[in-house]
Amino acid sequence: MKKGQLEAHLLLFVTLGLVAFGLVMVYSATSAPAALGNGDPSSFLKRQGTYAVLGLALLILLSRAGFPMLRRIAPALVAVSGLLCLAVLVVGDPVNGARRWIAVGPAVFQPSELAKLSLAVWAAAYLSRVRPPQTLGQLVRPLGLLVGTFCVLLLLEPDLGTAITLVLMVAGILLVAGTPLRLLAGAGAIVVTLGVAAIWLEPYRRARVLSFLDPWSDAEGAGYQTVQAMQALGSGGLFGVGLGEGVTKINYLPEAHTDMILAVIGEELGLVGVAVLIAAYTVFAYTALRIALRCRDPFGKRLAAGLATLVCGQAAVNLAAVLGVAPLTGIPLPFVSYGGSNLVVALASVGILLNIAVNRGQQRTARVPDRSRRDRRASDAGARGRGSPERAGRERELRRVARSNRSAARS
Amino acid sequence: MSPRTANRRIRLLLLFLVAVFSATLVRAVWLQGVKAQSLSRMALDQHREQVTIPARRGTIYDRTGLQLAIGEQATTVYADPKQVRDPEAVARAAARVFRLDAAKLERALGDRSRRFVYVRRKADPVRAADLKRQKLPGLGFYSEERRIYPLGTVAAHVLGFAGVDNEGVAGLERSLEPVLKGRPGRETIVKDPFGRPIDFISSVEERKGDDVILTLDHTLQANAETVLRETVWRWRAKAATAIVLDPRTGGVLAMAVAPGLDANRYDRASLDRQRMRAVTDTYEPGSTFKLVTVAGALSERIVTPKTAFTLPYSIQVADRRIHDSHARATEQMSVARIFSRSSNVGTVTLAQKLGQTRLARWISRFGFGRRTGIDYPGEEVGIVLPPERWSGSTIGTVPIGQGIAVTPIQMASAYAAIANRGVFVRPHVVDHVAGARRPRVERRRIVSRTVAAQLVALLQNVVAEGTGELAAVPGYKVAGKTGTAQKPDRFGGYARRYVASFVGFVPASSPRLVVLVMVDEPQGAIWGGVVAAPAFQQIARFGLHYLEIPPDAPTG
Repeated sequence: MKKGQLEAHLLLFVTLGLVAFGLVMVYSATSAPAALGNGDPSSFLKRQGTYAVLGLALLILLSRAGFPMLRRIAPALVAVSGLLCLAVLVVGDPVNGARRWIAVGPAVFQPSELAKLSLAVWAAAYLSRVRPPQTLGQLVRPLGLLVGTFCVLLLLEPDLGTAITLVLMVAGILLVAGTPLRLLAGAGAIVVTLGVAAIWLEPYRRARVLSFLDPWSDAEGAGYQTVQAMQALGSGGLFGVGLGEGVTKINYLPEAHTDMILAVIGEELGLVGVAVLIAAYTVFAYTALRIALRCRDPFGKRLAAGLATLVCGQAAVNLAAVLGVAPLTGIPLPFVSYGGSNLVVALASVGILLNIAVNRGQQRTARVPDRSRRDRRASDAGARGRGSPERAGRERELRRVARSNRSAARS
Repeated sequence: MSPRTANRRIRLLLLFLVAVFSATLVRAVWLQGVKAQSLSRMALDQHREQVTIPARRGTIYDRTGLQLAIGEQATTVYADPKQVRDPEAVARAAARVFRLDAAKLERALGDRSRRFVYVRRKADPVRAADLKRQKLPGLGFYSEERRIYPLGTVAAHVLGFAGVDNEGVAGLERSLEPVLKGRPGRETIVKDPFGRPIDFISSVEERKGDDVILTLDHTLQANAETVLRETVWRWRAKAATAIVLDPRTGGVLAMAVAPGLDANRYDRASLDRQRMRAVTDTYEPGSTFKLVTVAGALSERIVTPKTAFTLPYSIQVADRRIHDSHARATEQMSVARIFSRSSNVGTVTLAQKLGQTRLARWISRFGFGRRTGIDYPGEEVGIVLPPERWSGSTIGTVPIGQGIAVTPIQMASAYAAIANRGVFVRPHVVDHVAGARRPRVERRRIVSRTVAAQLVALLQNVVAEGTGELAAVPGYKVAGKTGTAQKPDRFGGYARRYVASFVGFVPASSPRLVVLVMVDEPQGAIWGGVVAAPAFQQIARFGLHYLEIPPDAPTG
């Protein structure tokens, strides 16, 4: 097995496992209420399955496409998703009071999901080109402004969850790009302050956010969803009540098949199921970040780290919210929750990660005169010691390339 | 930016994510391991519901198999104000279907703080179905049993009624509650938030209440009620009571009260009207009570029916002067004549010969001063002074039915004992519970066959040539006794208000029907022989014909 293949295989295995598991749980969460309401019990399963096939096709495509081309289309991606995010505010049909979806024939498309991917690519490309920002001013211009603009668009839908994911993902890329920790912490403080202010000014959000601190004080109102989720998890106990046997999903728990699917998993499969799920995301984080570690291309490194943060950040925020330790913000559980756009984009992210895994530094080495050196390195793991002459030479080489790229960008 | 720094940062990121995932795992362990029990109990409280399936109430039949009280399916309509979207529209629709006050209903439906409001309890299922078809959000429907009394006023007092919760509150419905109610079933269901059942966990089948067959005969009952109604109207009386007993079994064939009431609207009648006077009211019996004195004197062999006495119009007993009802000269009277003429002086003379102790024993032997044990709730004891509390004049009043209070059922039972050749049978209304054996009825002999026969002859005389002539039924030998008593007032004296009564049985040679009629405060006439005897005659004649009892005194 080639180097990097192990991570790639493990990542693919975890991803496919999560998608399959998600299909089962979406079916479990939606079939019973649909059957009771005389609906088609498998309608959600069929749609989610279709999106899974679509997402897997995209995954295969992107895993072979060669990620470096993404850096070239990054500005276009950002522009398109920006326009779409703007358009959804105008043409989107409100669902539950939010304009998040654009109808495309029989399907719906969520521009905010594309925006996440676009910004990941763009931020990774940008931060692989320039020195990491050293001051707040450098951070804000242009990255902060761009991310801020998208956040405002997302909050207008409103879609707080995606905005949070976006910020986390960019923070991940900034971290890996080497932004001083003090600057990151300061910026984080500012973002959190702004976020708290945004929450505080919207009464329904404030009630929702505050309710997670003591959901039982208003178990019929703002705390309802959290209370229902906790009851579901608690009744699952260690081994769960059995797949498909849960009761909470039947109209008690809103969004049981999307944001709250963890509660259904917890009720039906118990702590064992939840633990396996958390372990799966941990393995995902480990393999995705291994890929980032092994990638020699700065863009690929940052992009891999960003995509890992994108997926795992969503997972973490969702887990915390359903488990009642974070406010409910409306973030789906990646690969598992029902939701086409999210699934497709998450699978696309995995496709890119797979490509980075097998394609690390290919473009770089193409510009390096001695191609055979790279090949030898790839097959000789023992030579890859810390501070080896070869490694130092490679780093020098990369710095040179980066510099030339930067000057090229300026001209 | 060196890749080494980048890799350090990537490891930092990994560490951070692993830490966050570990924290969520710890939280999951807390919720699903430590708090699992209390959380799942909360969930069960919310998801599961114990549903009580009401048992159908037993039917009450009369002796002919006619349904007197039945359970009918009704639909109760309720609303959850929280789910009512348009209180006005819902109120308007419901008010139109059930003829309710729309404004009042709208106020109730608009009160969002409540989750349950009755729109209409036990409504007509057809109308409720009309409303259900309109599919108004917030309205709910469930089946409930409604108690129906198909005959309305007939036997209303006897049956009593079962309230909104199908629980007996008065009359037989109350005393037969344990038999009629059955056993409700229980079901544990898993429901969705709208209360719709998803799954059944366990269930205990309900058991229908037992049916009850009464000794009552609806035809005799209806006739007695009609006769009483006419009597009350004719004499502008306050009230009237009638009892028809089968002396052989003690079974009550009819037990009527006028003015009557509709059993289907029982709870809307005044408490005064709800009383089953035959069992719960006491009265001073007057002359009908003389039977006891004479029976005692005959049984103790102090006199025979032919023993004659010289009796003045009045005699002095201690501080009281006792006189007959109609002025007459001093004359010679046999015991038979004393009885048929209802002579107070004669009866008191017999009582004086009998003595206080023996008289008291005979009163008790006939069942006065204690409950007959009829299976109807709320039976009164009456007032009978124990001998040690008698004053000097008591021996002049009690033998003729004054200074003593009895219930109509006690009096009817006493006469039934004579009709039944001297054997007292406990009166009862319930013949048997369906599927169970007919219970044994207690019997005890109170006078010998000979004395009973002598008394029957004396009672026949009353109708043939005494005060009870209006009770005569052509073709039948009728035995009976009139009674006219002044009602005691609140001050211990007597008011100018009377109770006229007649009690007797037919056919005298082989009695089948004991009939008691008591008229409370008749106007215009006060005499039992005038007011009550004709009512007795009508009830007895109807009964004889209806039961096709052969005549024992063929005429012409």
